[in-house]
Amino acid sequence: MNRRAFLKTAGAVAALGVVPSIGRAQSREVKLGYILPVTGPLAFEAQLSLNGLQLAVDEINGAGGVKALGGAKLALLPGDTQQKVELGNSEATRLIDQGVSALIGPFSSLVAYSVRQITEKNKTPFVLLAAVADNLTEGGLKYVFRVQPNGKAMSTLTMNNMLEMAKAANVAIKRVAMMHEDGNFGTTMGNHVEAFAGQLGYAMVQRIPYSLKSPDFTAELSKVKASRPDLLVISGYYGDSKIIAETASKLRIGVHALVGLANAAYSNPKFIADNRELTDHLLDGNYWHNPQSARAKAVFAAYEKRFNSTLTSHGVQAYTVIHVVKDALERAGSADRDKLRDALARTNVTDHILPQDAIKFDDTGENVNATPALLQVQGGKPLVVGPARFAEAKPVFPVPKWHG
Amino acid sequence: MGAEVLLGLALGALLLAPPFLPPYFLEILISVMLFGYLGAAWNILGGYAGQFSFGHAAYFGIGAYTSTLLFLNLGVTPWLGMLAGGVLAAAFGLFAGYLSFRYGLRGPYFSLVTLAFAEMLRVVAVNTKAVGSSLGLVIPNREPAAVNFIFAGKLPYYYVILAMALAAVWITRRLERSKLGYSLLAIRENEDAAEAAGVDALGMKLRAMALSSFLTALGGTFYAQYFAYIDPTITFGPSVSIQGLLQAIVGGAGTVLGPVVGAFVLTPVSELSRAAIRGRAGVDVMLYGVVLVLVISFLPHGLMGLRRGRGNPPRVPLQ
Repeated sequence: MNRRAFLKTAGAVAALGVVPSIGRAQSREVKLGYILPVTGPLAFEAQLSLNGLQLAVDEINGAGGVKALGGAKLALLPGDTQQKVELGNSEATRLIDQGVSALIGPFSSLVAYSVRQITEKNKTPFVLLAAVADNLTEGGLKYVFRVQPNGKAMSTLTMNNMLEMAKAANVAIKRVAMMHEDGNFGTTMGNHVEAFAGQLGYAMVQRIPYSLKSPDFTAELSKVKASRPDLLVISGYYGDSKIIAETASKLRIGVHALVGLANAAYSNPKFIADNRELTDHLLDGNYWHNPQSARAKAVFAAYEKRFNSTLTSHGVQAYTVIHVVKDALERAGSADRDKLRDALARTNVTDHILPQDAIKFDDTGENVNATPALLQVQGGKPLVVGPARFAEAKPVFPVPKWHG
Repeated sequence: MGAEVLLGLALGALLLAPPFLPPYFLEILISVMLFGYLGAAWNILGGYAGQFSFGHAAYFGIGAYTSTLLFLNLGVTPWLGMLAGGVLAAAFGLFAGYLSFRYGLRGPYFSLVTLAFAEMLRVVAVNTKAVGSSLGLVIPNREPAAVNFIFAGKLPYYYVILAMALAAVWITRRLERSKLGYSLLAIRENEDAAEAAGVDALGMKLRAMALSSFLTALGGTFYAQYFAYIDPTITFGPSVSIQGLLQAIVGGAGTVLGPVVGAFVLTPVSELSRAAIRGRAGVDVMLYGVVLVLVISFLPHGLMGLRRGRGNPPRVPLQ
């Protein structure tokens, strides 16, 4: 085929692809829009969230939709941010044009900062998903809600859980070292762990921000070891966290425990399955479900059946967000954005699968009871070991192997 | 004629149509204009002088950070901060340019150095608390006030960036017919020959650098005001650098309208492919990639190469 013929064919193919993009409107449905980075560097994790959204929507639709709206079905309208701010904006705007009652996403604080202006301007409820920056809900915003713990709750409550666990084991934690990736997420966590030191009575003996591109952490961990910490806290993504755990093991780091803080690896079932020996007894403070909840067990089983994999914490958050919105729709009795917003503000959901009391929002839209769980890998599984009332296993602490 | 009429119509549409467009199209049009503007700024150095900078994010970031820090800390209106950022960026451009050109860095070596400068600024920003480190800077409490470059709707932002893009095109047009422009072309085609003919290559390249970095910085301020949040990765990261040069190369580097035309093709292609293949993640990005490959392989002079001929001398493909 010569170039001209190729161009013609390609043009025809492209034209075919572009045409059937006109949406099918149905009257008896409530549109919810999501914006997630379903392509790009976070595609895998975003897909896990998307699965959670889909599972909840299908569950609700299968059970008769939104009853207060005559059984209206929920419809999920897709938006892809590719983790880019300008795409987050244009996708959010498009979804709002298409009449969504609420927007869910965007898996990144960077994108959220910008999108929240658009949702605020358009008076559209925006329920944050996997965006931890503390100040996202600040500034008198009326339409932003967040179910999951923000950076501050995540870090301070995790440290609190750790200290309580140590106290129960009669071990003093006086010296804490922290390594975190140097982006928005890691820095937020590091700032809080450092700021919280005085209040909780530990000293931050080492704080090492690192670049995700670092191929090696021997120098950093040698510094950590030299500072003789009781605890090493790590906020990072998958690859870096793996290398840090391996290197810490090699160096015989000599701490009571390695604790992840919202760590992307240490309670990740895939990471644990791939690194059985390394991960044994790793701790992690993270978003989780309530292992005591019968409903959670049913949701996990349904997820397993549908997606042939284990529901993750991203999926749990997404699943919960849909149910919170559905609850508000029932109480609002309307898909109107303003009525939905007011109903969301009065949320009081007690039947949920999170390790916390009722889901309620404060004036800024933060879930007042949002709590991370403290997890420990035992027998190749991440098990909840704190807070005590949600625990499914006794913690192994201090962890003998790090003293090796 | 023909082209002039078409241009006039396009300009009329850009000026008059936006108030009647749905918000989604306006949002995309703002992206198009911003990218077109950044492409035009890059084009002065990359297209006309032939100095391929991979690090224009440095100037973009300096612009965004300067105006935002002045606004947040001293209450200086971003309109002034914008100029301050531009001047600072031009100064940094002269510094980086002098270092590279003085020591004879050309071609890929120059590109790599510019990339390193941008990356250096990113690392500095990540580790400097005073500029917000990696938490970035939020422009809070968005009370609309024209004097503070904060508007209630999108429309005013559109007209600001439209004016900036038109100004950049106008500047490029003036440049093309100036002594500086001819010197830059001579340098691009054969620097040694140009110098032998008496062109002050270092001086001319530095002037192009200063102008290009000044304009890029203004785009940074616009970005900060429009998106209300900046951080080191967004502003100093490689994706900004690539966006600018992509528009210019696809549209036609070294042509007056190339970058804007490139932006008008690339952004809608990205949007349309996403709209067409919604729900099947990734296919749209591949389609976008295919379009890029097609343009590069069939149109080495960019889209503007399509109407080469009349008056425009054939251009040597850019290396």
